[in-house]
Amino acid sequence: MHDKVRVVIGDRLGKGQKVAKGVEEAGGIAIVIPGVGADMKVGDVMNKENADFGIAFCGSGGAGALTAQTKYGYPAEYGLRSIDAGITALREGKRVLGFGFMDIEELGRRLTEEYIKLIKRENKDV
Amino acid sequence: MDEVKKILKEVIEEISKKEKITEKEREELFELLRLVKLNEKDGKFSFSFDRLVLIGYHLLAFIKRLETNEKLPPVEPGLWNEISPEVKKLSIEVLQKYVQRFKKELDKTEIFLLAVHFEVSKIKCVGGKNNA
Repeated sequence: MHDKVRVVIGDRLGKGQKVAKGVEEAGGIAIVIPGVGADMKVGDVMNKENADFGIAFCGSGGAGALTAQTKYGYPAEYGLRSIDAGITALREGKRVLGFGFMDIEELGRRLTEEYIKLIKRENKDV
Repeated sequence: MDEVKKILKEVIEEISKKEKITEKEREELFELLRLVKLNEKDGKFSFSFDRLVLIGYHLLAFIKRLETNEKLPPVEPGLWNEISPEVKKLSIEVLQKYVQRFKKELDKTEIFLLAVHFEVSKIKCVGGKNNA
């Protein structure tokens, strides 16, 4: 068990640092996967790190999320093009979010804030 | 060849469950996927059905980017070092003819993105398995 929200980030172009900064601003722990094909390793790293959710970036916004879904059964949404679409996916229970390239702090911050809200709501309901 | 055609059509069907594809895009995607699949012949690459679906999603996005002139961010310095020249060449071969038909230039980032799919397929192939 871990107290802080853990978010795995994999970007095909080796970016993701700004998203990571946003995650940390919101109080989460960001795990940025280095190297080639990082987006396709999101599921592996989520599984290894027991992460809360993952964000994959590639040209179609699909490869990382679909790989994680196929390999580990994580509920995934892909082809996302906006922060709001990502938030909606989280609310729908998706745990791997596949975006086109958008390495921006606001994305990491708002997704993490939303996830924390969802967890608090779940805990209240229990 | 008929078997390849059947597989690729199934791949495109799978993609079309989630993505809107016009008839023209369907034909273009088939041709691009066929060029990718051809590279299995020398035994250095293995493209499972799931991997072809992922590549198909990627190539469909590539086709749409070309239609809309969408530009991608540049590749981070150093990442090219992890792509073998052979794989880079294959990626260019698959994409170049298609881009030339539209009298456009092939973006380096596009070469890199497809090359990663080839690289992953090659690496998985070494262990004898390709689980996408």
